[in-house]
Amino acid sequence: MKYYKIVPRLRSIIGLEFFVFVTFLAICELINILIVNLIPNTTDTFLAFVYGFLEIGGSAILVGVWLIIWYVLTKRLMKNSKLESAAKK
Amino acid sequence: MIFPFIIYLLAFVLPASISLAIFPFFIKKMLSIGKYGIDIHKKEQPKVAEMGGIVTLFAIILSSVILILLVQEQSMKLEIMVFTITLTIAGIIGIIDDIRPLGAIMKPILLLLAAAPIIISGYFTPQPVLPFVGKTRLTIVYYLLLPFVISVTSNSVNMIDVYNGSMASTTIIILVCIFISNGIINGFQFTTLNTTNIYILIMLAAAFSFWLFNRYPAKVFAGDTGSLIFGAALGAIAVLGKLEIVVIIAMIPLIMNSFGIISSVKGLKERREIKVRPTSMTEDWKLQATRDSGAPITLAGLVLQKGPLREDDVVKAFNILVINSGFLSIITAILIWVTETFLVK
Repeated sequence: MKYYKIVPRLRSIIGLEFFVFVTFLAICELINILIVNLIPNTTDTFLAFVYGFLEIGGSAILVGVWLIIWYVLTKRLMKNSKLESAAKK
Repeated sequence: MIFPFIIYLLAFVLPASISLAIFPFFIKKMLSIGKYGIDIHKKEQPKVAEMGGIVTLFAIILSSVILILLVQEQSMKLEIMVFTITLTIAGIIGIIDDIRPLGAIMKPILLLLAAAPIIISGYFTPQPVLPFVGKTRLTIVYYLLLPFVISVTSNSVNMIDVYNGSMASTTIIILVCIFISNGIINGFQFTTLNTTNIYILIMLAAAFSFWLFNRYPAKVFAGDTGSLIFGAALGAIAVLGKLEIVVIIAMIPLIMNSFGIISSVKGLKERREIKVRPTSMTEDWKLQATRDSGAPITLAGLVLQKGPLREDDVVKAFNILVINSGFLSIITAILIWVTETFLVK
């Protein structure tokens, strides 16, 4: 079968790939706006540590949220398709 | 001094020619000593030589040794050595698993060891670059995540190695996209040596020559030896080449496949432990998704949801998905380049 004939069956998966990519970019932009730009630079060692912790913690939470969204959507998409194919049969 | 272009050329030609020369003999030998598997997706149920990854590993080691001798700079010699040792550890774990199957939990745990050469050598920068953000400072977190990188990528590639040519062709596409991305981020300079280009070219040659024998209808299977080597290579390239995000994006379909399998079988389980297969064969020898609710949820199942397909068409579907994610990884590389060049103060 030619490649272009297979593409229509893959619409939902390709859609998920784009969604994962766009949400990743959105999270990067959020990290930039909310964390990197808002947290000031300081020469105070203690404050620098606290700010660094906040930066890493905040970014880790956002990336974690992205991974969870990705995981949940993949799982849902795969479950839904399985149910659909079972219903068809 | 050897011109960098010659090194790049050798990085591709050496592993390719070694593999192409050895594979025909290896296949004959493995069939004659009874080290073969039955290709259950074909009507004729042909015997196919197993553990083709051994040839790939041999070709990579031999080529790397020659390249280490040819490269002038000491740090580059060491970097190529670290890359090769990482792959060798993954390959040895694969060989052990092919001969005497390791448990589903033992294998990823052992694969944590494969990251040891990278960690010990310190040839990495714990500052992955994010689009829009630029360099991040993840010194401690990066060290914590590092051991899992090789394990995750190896297992993801291992889980996609289910049909003739599926692992090799998807790996080739990912490597090509990483090569382009590396060029975008670090510049397409063929007059200076870039070790990431060397790793990618070695692996591209190894994957391409393996694919020639593993494509539909396969004459050789990679075994866990092959899939773990290619997976470990992707992880090592991500870390050593500072291309972590690009590799993650390029591997989206493979990671989705692993997510699906791990979540549906509720944890790490060995292929042999999963009783219900995700796909079955139709009367005309096409692949179809199984109805059984106990079957693992896989990318193949998703592709086959709209009806049965021939084995080679399923592999084509995988390739389309990886081409798409590869395209997105190149966009990521462009965004990283723009961020590093124009946006970061």
